[in-house]
Amino acid sequence: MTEVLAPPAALAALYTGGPLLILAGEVAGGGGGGGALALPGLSPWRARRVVEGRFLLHRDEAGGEAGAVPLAHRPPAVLALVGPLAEALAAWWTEAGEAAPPVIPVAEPAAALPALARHLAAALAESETRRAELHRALALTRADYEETREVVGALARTLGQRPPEAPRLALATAPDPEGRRVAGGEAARLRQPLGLVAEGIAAVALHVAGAEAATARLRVRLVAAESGRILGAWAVAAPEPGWLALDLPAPIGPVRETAVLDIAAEGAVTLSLDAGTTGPEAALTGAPEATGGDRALALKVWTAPAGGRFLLPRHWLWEEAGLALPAAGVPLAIPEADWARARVLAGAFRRVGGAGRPSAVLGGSGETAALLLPPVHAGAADLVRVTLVVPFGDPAAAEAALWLLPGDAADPAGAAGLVPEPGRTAFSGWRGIAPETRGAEIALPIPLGAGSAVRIAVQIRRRGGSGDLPCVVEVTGAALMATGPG
Amino acid sequence: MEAGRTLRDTGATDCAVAVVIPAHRQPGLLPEALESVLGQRAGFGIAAVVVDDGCPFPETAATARAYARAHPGRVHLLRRANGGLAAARNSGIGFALAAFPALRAIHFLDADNRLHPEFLARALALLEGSPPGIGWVYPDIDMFGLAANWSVRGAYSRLHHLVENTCEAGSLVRRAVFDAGLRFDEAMREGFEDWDFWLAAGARGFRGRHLPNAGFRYRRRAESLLAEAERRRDSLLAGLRAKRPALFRPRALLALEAEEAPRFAIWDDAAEGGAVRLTLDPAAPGDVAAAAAARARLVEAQRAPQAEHFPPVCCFAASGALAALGRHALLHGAFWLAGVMLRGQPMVGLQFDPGAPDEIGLESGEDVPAEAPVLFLRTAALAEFAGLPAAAPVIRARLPDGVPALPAAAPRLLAEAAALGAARRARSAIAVEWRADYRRPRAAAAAESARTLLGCGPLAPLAADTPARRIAFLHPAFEFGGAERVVLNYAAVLRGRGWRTHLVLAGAARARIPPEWRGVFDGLHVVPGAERADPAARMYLGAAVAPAGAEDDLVGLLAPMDAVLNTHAFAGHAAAGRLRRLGVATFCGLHMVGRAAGGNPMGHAHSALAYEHAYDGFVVVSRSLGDWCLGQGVPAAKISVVPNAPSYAADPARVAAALAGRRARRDGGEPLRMLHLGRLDAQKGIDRLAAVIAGTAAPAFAWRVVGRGAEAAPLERAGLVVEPPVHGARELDALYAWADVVVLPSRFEGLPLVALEAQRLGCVVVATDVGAVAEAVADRADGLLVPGRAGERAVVEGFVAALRELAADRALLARLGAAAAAARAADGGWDTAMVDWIARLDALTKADDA
Repeated sequence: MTEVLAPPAALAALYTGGPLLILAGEVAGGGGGGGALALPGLSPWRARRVVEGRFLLHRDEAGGEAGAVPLAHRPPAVLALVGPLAEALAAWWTEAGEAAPPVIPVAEPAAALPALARHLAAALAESETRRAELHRALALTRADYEETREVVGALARTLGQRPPEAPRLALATAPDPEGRRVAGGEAARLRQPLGLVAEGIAAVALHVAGAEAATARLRVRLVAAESGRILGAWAVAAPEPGWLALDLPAPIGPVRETAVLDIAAEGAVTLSLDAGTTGPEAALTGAPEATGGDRALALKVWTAPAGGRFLLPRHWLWEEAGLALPAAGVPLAIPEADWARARVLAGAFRRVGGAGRPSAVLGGSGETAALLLPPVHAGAADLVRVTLVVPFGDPAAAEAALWLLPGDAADPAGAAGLVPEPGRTAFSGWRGIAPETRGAEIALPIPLGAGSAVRIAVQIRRRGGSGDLPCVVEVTGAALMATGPG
Repeated sequence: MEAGRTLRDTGATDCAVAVVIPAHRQPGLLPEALESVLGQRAGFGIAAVVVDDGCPFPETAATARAYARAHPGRVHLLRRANGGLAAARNSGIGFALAAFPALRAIHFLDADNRLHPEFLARALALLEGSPPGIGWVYPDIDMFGLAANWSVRGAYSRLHHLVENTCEAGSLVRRAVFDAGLRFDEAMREGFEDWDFWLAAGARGFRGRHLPNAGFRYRRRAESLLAEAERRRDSLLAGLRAKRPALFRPRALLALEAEEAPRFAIWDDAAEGGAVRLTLDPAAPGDVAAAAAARARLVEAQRAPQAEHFPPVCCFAASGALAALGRHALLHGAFWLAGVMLRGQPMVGLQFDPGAPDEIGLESGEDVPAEAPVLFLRTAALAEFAGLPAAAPVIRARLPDGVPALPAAAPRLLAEAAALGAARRARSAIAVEWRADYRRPRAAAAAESARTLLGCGPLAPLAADTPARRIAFLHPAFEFGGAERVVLNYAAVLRGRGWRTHLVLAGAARARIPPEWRGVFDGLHVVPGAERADPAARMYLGAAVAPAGAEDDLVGLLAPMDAVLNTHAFAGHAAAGRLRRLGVATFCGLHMVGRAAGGNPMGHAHSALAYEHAYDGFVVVSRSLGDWCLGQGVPAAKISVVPNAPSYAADPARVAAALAGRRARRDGGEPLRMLHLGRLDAQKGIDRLAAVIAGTAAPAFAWRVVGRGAEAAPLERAGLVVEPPVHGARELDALYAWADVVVLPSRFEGLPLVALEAQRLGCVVVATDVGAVAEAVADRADGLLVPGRAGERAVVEGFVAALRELAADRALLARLGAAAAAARAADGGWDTAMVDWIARLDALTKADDA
């Protein structure tokens, strides 16, 4: 029986990608890279016969048998076996009852090209045939899908003409009579499982224990826990005490996932807790001090059959529904290309390497530079993080600040135009650069009032420091991130 | 490696998670599985390994190749000859371990299933955030196609997993599990190979953990491999259990029950701070919880019984009640019996009744539960409890040394029921889970595990964590006859060697155990209704056999033992084969070969032959009984001869005094003192005795008869005053010291203890030569034997002649008496007698441990 070995490090490559071309035995002029067969897209390998019936498969320079492992499976994407030992190596396939790759028993690489071209042409023809089959299947599937869409649309229009169906109260808990509540605040994030399947949910209600009209702001998302999809989103400014009903435009369709509320609360707003206790799996998370780990929010949930009602809900965020919630804690970097579209509000920036990240050179004390990025859709992220380094000069001489402006904000005339607007803008305050790392990381929650898009401004200034040497501050990255509740 | 990337934009060398996708005959669905792997959002490298398991459709390999080319380093294809799901997964495991040096875990995804994008990130975070012993994290099962959503939430339970498969194959498994050598069993091609894999991992010390909100999507079609496996469920399960017998041993199940699913919740007024003890073994500390915490657990278990466990039996006990049961070795027996009785009742009480000084037991009856110091009830009934019934079944614990004055348990029970109601009302309406749960309720799964897995009734609630071996002595009744005294000595010797000893009564509710023997047994158990006649009246060569199928509870009670010695219980015969299959060493104790009134062979020894193959051994009290077994076809290796010895230890001072006193009397020419001691029935030849007494009258002879039985009348008609039986060593020695001769005219016998005990004090035994009597009495060397099979008249005449000879020849009397005392003094006692049997016990029970 034929045996073929390969170094463990080569295993992944042997069974992925491809196609592979195996040069079996000495192929004149083949060289380490396969000579004339080292074509783009081809991955040439060599099979060296160690003893009769045993081959060592390797990609570059021939290694010894030491450490090599026998291959239990034949590589799946071998285009051809080329060389004087190709026939002998093909036995490895046939002995296992598998069809051997094409055998091209030539002594020179160039001599294999005509046969190889024939095989490639055949493979291409097969692939084209398969592609045509898939196109045909796709066309049929699309036709099915389009018809289904039309039917669903027609049904929705018909159903929409009917009086809205009264939703069914699927869950009702009472506010705690002893007044237990959870308070909002800067970037308070709460997560409340509803203990219900998302399918059919038509409305939810929270009980607002108290709110101050000037600052209170809530953003509520109804999330499918397993997929992270946002099924509903509402933004409520200055909620009034009492039950706050949050309707969906239509009952949720066949989403058989766990319904969870993701709540961000800003300012002076408090939400009532449930009068009853519950286990930790159903309890509110994100505010352990308030709940003691065994309380849920006071809640109401209504359900209705699909198409049972169509509404234009108050507070609804049309742009969020249907998004996938980004993985919590995973920063989503703003592409470097976006930096080219940034507007300089103050000072001078140059691009590192000509097209990369922006870098400002600060000369004398008090010198300022500021950069404004174009609006970026927050996409359910709730935090912006910017990183800076000082590659040259005294880190202690520089400081930086981060501004977040609403996506629809007009361009400020200059750095002086960066002014706080309560509830809609956020300012990090001036931050120093750590001398030991020569870097800084500034993170800032996106204010709920900013809307679905946000503009990022980075401001840098010199505050003194050693002598008159210039100080270079480089903005190394900016990213948005979902922090997740709790 | 940067966070936040998807699978599409990363390299292969840092693959942390491999997703193994066996593919066979589903080429059209494979892209969905691959897309869901490629769409994973995670901060670590992920690689898909498609294993084309000899699929006859070329599209399978073509599809996988196309994906591999489009995603080099992210999708891999292995092709192998068809070997089934297990073999395909193993191929993927082997490849992933060899090809990905940074591998941390493997997920198994069937080609027709899908994952939500966060699945692997969540799963690896939970797996690696868990202790190293957590070998895999398993998802809920969200089915599409035939839509259904199944929850498997709650703490992982090995016991529950033995009863049903609670883990989907689509789990993420830690690399350490595979490094430990675990693989799927490639012989299991018809299904349940995943269940087998989890059990194997559990046996190697790994545990699972539920992954909440996992996002695992299972395509369920009306016809599938799983549907086919479910049709073959019984045979597949039988194979699974036969393959891993150690997991299904009674002691293993008890260990899991104690750890994961305790049987009893005990509100003991003696407990500090009103704490509640959750335990399998009522003598073990268990898991102690504050009353409110225990109540909260109960509320959760009632809301989600498949996900949360609470003991299925509640016990409320007045302070001191459980201690009293424990002092009398009745604790485990009472709790087990209560569990059995609760099958048909919501509540069972326990009361204490005074017994005679040698009486102890657990009797069933009916009484007023409001006065009972101990109340057992089914947990399900507790929440509904508003008041106690006027009458309910009770267990009467009969205690030999007085009954403690104890308050009733009812007030505590009613208070707890009310508190539980309040706790339920205070519980929020919000549900923990919306999915359905197909699993058995945890308490039921635990309670039924013996029935489901072993086919027997509830196991005795004995902690499995003790290294001491356990032996049960099974009897139909225990009346302190010769057989019982022998067994007491067996128990005493084994207990002295570290065994835990249990007395089990199959046909009676109380035992007679004199005070000096109390403490020989660690537990006394009663199995109501176990000993019954075979309604079909079947016979094995003329000997009765036990009814089949009525011994389930007895098997459950005895299954946790290492060994069982059945002495005369028919129910034990019926249970022996099943116990042996469960790993219990089974022994049949034989004391004699009985004969019916007509003289034909009958009785226990003959019935036992019908069950010879079900016993690991026969323990016989004499060499002649051993020979009889051999002659009946019992293999010699299964026969352990434990020659009887005196049933109580010798007191050298009393022996010396007795011998000296007798010498003094013989010099004085007093009448010959005759003694008969024992049960007064036909077997003992009491009618013969009456005739012998008539032929050996005063003044040359002085007679005493001590005993009790149906045949006392002829003696009393002869003017003799029959003295009541005595059991104490001092009293017995006093009788023997008084006597010169002990007369035993039995029709059949074993190796009578009376003979041995009398000889020890220098009495001359005159007996019929039946059974193994000749092994104790050497004719004309240390006693006199009368041929046992001669006619009745000849037997009587033989006894009269022998006694007259002794009366006339006091030198002969003295010589025989001295020889008898010397012979018994040279005996080694029970420790020596039991050497062979103990060696066999050790061999069998140690082999079992291994």
